[in-house]
Amino acid sequence: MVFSSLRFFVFLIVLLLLVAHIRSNRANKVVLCISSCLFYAAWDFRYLGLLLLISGIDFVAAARIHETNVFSKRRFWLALSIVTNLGILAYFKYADFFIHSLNGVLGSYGREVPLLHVFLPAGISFYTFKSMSYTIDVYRRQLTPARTLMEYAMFVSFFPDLIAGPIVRASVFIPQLDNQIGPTRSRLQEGSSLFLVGLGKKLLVADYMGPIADTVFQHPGAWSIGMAWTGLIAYTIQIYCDFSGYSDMAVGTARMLGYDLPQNFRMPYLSGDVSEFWRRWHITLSEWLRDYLYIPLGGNRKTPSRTYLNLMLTMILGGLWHGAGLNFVLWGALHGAALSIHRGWSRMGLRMPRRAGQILTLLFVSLAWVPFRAVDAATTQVMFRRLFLVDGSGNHWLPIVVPAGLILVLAGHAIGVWIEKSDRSANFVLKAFDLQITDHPLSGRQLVFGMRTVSGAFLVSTIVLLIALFAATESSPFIYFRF
Amino acid sequence: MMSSAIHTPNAASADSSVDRRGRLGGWSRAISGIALSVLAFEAVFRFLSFEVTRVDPVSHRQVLTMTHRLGEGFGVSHWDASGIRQSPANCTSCPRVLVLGDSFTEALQVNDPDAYPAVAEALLSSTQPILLVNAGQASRSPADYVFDALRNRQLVQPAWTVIQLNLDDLGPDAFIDAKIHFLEQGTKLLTPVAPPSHVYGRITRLLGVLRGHSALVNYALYRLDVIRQTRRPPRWFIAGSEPDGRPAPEARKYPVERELDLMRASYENRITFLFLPPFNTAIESGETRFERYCLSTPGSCVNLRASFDGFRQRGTAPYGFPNSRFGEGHLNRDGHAAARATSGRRASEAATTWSFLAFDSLYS
Repeated sequence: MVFSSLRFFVFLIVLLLLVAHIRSNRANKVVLCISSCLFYAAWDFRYLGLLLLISGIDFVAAARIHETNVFSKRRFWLALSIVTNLGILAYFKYADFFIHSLNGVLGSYGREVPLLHVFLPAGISFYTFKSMSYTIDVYRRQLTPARTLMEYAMFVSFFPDLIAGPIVRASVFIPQLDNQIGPTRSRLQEGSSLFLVGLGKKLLVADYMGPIADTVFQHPGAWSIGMAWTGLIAYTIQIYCDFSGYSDMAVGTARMLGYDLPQNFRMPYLSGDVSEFWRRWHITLSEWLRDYLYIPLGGNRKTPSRTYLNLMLTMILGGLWHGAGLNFVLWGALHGAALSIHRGWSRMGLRMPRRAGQILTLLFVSLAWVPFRAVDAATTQVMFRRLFLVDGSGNHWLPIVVPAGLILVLAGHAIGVWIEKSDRSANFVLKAFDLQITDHPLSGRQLVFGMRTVSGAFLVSTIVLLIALFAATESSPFIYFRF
Repeated sequence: MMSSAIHTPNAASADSSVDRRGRLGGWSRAISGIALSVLAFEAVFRFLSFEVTRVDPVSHRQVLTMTHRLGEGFGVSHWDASGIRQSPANCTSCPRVLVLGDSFTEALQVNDPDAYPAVAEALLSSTQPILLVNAGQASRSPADYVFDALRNRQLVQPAWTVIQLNLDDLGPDAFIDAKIHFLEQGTKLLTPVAPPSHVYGRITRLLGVLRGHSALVNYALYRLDVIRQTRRPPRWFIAGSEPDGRPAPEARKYPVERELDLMRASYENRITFLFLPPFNTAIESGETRFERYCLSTPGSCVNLRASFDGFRQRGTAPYGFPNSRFGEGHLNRDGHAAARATSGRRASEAATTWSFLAFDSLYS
């Protein structure tokens, strides 16, 4: 069930009506837990058991860790949780990748291990990381375990962030279960505004950029240098609008239901350096990798060379988290190298003008998307050759949706910067369009639409009509569903 | 001070009336905003995609103007009441070439002078006055051309006929029951039949009237139709890797040669077939059969594939627009120019030769 589908709207409206009329907090949680299971079953009912199994094991493990002070026992239950989560992830996501790599070595001896052809359960990377962080936090005594299995199952299976994040920490979500807020008027307004923005990003921009990027990346050798860059720009826009659009819809849906999820994107393409980029792009994953991988590896507390190694390792594993393939390893390694270079540069006390840094970072991030998007190393190579080889060959074409999408993204970023910097002087515009800027500790600054003025109603209905009339008719699945 | 704090019944009713007025004001502002937005979209769609019928002040005939700047191409076309596209040539006695085809000949994506019949006509008229009558219409197929042959010949009195075909025309397009289609009777006979006329209900008729007056309603209904066609409602619960259990339908062998024979006969053998193959795919069996037919039967056939190498060398394509896909969809301006180059001169030569022969025969 995709957020941008009519089926999801029906599901959400029915659920909101149900939740709004339930008085008991416990009944509310039961309804949300069942609807999350239904939501997941709509993806693939066979793996619902897997989700519940992970929830059960981690719930028991965390409870055991919490109730004992014996170091070895605590270690045992933590190890059990981590091994179970990583084991399930490794089997479903990486088994065929490792067998394929092994066959590369065994092939020279005339042997081959048959592939398992395991089907990837939707959202497995997200919910295993979410669940794993819970037991680690309980082990570190940073978190009190959930009281009931149902509460914990609701945290793991909470449908807005189940399939593609944000990766919510238990410390953020579980305390919210105690005080039922439900779909209040202001929450509905805030949530639906965020949902509308996310829907627009997905249906009006990402879905138009996708086919252009697909066309170029399918046969990069067939295209001219101009078209190769157009395809790369299209993918750079697509992946941002697709993923941040999904995150907006997830946060918006949760807000409407009465829960708060953390912000996942904060205009990453405006970053002045690659380190800032990772503080703005897929924020919940970056923070997860920082807290549960980079810092345990030693972080920057050891020698500079060890810090660079830690950065490289973290980013390579982060790349591998996205998918089983050498292209993701290369993408992670490129970012790891860039982070190390940036760290070395900063240590030397060198500074770059912010604008130059922004351009350089955007160029690097865009070029790094090439291995991320390309299906194999050969395509990556051909694409890079096309991007930099001026030989006048290849097909020429300028799809107008790319400049149109670029204009929309630039306009969106300009509004974003305005929201971040807005103060009382902006009140005239806000009042005229019945807009509010809310500042939430978790999900950051956000624009809330209203319809109490003529221009406000005009703005909202224009956005709704734009989506209804111009949304791509063949909507593609969200990119991060694959991970 | 005290009196202002006391809540009297009168004050309460005054408060509630102010509240009601405020609420009404809020609603009216919201409705005004929505109405303004709808009006703005109506204006935008009138520019992007709309059909307007008006009476031409010079000829006093009804002219349909179709604006097609959304989705694929950027064309404005003008049509007369009998479905013939406006032509720059203005000769009544010169030889006429009837050009039949589907949406590729209708060519809503390009302006009137850029459609291949008009390009050919403009080019050929400099040496020999000739009129190319563009009667292309979307979703037409060989069954329509045969079914309407008598009417077309009486209406246009063509010296020659060009029929544009593509793979679908030689395949399933002429065998769809919902429109004029061929009925196969045995291995020899192929008859075009019309489906029973459909009587529309009151709602459809009302929507039809609305569509004629509002570009926004027209486009919204068109989109609903597209969404209905492209999005099959999915099952509620799916197992991701489960293959679709239904067996693939068996490929039907269509009577390509008989269709071509029937078209030739319907237009008295004075015919040129213009074949438009896909650009991005390899040659398919329908095209091979068309080519084989052309080699075995004396007649006039042209295939746009002859121009494909030139397009590939230039890194361009005959199909597709900046607002659609490269090499897919309908003919772009270059594609129409290529279609003119491959078919226009052949048809014109044939038409003028036949016309002179016919003229001579009157006095011999």
